[in-house]
Amino acid sequence: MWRYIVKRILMLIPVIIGASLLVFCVMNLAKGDVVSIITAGADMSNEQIEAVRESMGLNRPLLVRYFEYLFGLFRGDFGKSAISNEPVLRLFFRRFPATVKLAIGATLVNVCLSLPIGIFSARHQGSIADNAAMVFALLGVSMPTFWLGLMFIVLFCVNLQWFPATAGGTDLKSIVLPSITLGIGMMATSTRTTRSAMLDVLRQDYLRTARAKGVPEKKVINVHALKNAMIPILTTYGTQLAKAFGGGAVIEMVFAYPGVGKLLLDAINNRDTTLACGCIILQTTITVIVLLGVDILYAFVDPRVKAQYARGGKKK
Amino acid sequence: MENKNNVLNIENLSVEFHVDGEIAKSVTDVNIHLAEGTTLGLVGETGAGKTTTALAALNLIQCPPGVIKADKVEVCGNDMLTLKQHELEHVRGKDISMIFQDPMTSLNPVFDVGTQIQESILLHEKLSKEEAWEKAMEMLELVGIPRERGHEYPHQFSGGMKQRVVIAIALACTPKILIADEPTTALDVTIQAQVLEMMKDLRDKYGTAMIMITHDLGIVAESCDYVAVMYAGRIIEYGTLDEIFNNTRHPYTEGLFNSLPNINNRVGKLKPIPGMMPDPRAIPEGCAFADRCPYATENCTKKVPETLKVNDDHTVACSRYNEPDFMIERSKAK
Amino acid sequence: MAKLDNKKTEKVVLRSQGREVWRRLTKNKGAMLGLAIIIILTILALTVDLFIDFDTQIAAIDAKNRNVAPCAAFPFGTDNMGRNLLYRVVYGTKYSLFIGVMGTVFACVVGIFLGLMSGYYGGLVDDIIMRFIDIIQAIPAIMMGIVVVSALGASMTNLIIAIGIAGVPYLTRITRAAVLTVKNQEYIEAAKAVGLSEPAIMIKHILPNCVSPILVAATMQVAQVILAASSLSFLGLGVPVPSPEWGSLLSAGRSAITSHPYLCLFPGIAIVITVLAFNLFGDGFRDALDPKLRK
Repeated sequence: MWRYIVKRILMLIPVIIGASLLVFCVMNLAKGDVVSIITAGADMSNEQIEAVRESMGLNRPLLVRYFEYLFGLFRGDFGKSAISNEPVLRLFFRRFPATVKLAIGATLVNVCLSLPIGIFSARHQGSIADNAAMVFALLGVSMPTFWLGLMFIVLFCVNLQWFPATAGGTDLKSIVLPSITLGIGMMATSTRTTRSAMLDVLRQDYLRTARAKGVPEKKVINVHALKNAMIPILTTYGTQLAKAFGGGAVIEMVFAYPGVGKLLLDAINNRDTTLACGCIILQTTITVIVLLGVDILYAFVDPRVKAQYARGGKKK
Repeated sequence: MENKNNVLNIENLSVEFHVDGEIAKSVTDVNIHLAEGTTLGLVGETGAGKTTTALAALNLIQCPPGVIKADKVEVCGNDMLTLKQHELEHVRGKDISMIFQDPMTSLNPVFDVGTQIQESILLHEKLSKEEAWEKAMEMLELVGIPRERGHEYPHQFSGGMKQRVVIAIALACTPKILIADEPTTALDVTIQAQVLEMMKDLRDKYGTAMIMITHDLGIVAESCDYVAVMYAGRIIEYGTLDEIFNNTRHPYTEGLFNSLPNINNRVGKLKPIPGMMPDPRAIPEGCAFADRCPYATENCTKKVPETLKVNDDHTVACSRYNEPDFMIERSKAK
Repeated sequence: MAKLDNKKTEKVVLRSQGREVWRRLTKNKGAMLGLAIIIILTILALTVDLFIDFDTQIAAIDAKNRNVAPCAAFPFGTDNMGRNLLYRVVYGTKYSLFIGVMGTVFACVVGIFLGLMSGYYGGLVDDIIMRFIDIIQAIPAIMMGIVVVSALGASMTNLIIAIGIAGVPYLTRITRAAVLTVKNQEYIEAAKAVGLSEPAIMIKHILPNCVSPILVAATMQVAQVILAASSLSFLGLGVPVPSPEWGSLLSAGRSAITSHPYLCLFPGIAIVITVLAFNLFGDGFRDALDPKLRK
């Protein structure tokens, strides 16, 4: 088991190196660099601008700069923001707790809604309630989450005035609405997954065995069936959590929420390559670690997966 | 046959499945009475309604699409069809339990086998978790699996071992009635014998009444006191083991015997019953066996045969039985 | 002769399978509704230039009618430059559908190529391609889009490429899986024995047998691309103004959301309807191809 985890962590390294190379190159190929942004207002000659470039080391070949950057990464040095001159790591982890709060809030909303609704739908397949739930879920997956956020702002902040429209803080009141928005966005997909996973399991013979033993129906569904349906459900939750850590940028924009997504967007708009690269690499790493965490969770849910990991075998 | 000692009384049980506007008559007018400590063999081809009958006794049929009609389905004095859900859960596993046909799919893959046995004990007996686990381990040893393997999961067991676990689960609370649905079909012949032997021992030890569902007449001969032969959802012949084997009255039962290879007479050809059992969605009028029956007359297709008494220990549902000079081949030879 | 006959029967089988799928599909009300909406939107997108003039009705500023709430003259209201939102939303169909389809085509072309190579050759080729796919997939899709668009500059083509790349891993995996299931079947062996070249085997024999899962994936992908495009446009990384792409409309409407919420309402509904149509059709298509999944 531990060997499997270590092996998986080692396998992350080439992925992260590859991702950093990709991002670094693409970012540095961009038209207009940070110098042109910094010096945009200032009255400087071309020679002076070139000098600024030279002082920042931006005129050396791309690959040289990349390897320098990569060696920095291995020492835990993500460089400094070209705009604020603060270390990237400090900037990132100043914002990161806000993103974590939002991701956890959204996941809570997601799990608390999708699990009961998905299970109910599967048990009452074809009923009016099931059909209604599925129509809503389909609407949910077809809706841009940020638009749902905009509509919530109109409803709860403008019309009902329950929440401040764009608080910009990370206190409970400013977290509620973004969490609900992101959570509902996730919920549509996970309700569908939960339902279909449960439908698969509800047909299985071992549930009949459990009923024949006299296991109460509630326990048959919530323990015997659910634990078997958990792998696809966990996968969905994990992917969504990873997305919330990494891709919440749009929701953060809508609610002016000070998370890492906004940090990244600002960095990109300022052509602050070091900061942007650092953000993306860190978020990619977090994403991959969350997904690895889910893979490890499988082992606790399903002994067959655990046996597979213990053998050092690949995932199916 | 109604008797105070009966632990199971099923009267006029009919089960239908309504699917996509079609009605499949899986079980029709079945009567089963079972006294303490006796074993009934329920025999018939695949699809004759044996398993459905058994599931109905536990009220485990999914409704809908199933529709159960019966005058009585009584387990140890409990009417299974009118009990509330939680009362039903109390009876299942304690008074009546079932060994399912396919051991490969009957165990929950995500719980270790010990837990699956322990769960049943915890539900029905007032024991602490440790005591229940201890008892579960005893059950495991009883079916011939070392207790060290109690923490292992179903995927670590072979088919025969899984079947033993399924049996251990069914027997965990020493039920008064045990229904064994083809308990040996999925097993190797050598293991089959072991399992049967074990079940016989258990019956002798606890006085459990059993229904043995099978299509193997050999198993019936070995382990049953009574035999009920089912065809297309009906019991067409019922009697003691001796009566059914030595005083066969129904042409279908005869057909079953003729389909068996006979070691003493290898010259004679097997005589399989021609044709197929009718689709439960389109059971023909009259006797369902008529179009496969070598003795059928035109009359047979007109009326469903009544259940007629041969003697106190034997009934048969054949329209021609009452004809004074009618006799099936098997009986003539005797 | 024998070869000809084989081809004939193969075609007959394919055709009757197609007919069966179509029959099941027509029974599915949701899928038919989705298909109807897709057809209507496509016709609209293709003909919109005939009845809406870009210069006078979309881009022109009308100072007299700024920020008019929805009324009889302007059913969807007007924006802060007095432009009729109804026209803008209707005209936006063209952009969203085009981006959706082209983004999917991009993902399909690249994904199918990589998937075919990976699945057919296996070994080292497979390893290299799949590791590359792992890397792309590790980067959150929306970030990938942000990075690519910001590097290449905001334009429709770049938006399509940015979102297309994010869809490549999915289509590669689908194609690879489909190829792996047909690769070892006997008719492929037979084709090899006859001496057909590898590209010919791939295109003539392997690809046609992978078509259905790829088609389902592509239908769903259109929905995903439209959603992703609207996100990027919303962040200001999409089609430049004054083109009324729906995401851009939302982005513009957001600044006035407290005073003129209707500016965000209608473009959003347009997105939902379009994406819903593709999802409905995709769901129905998948179920029709694999009836086991239902019930």
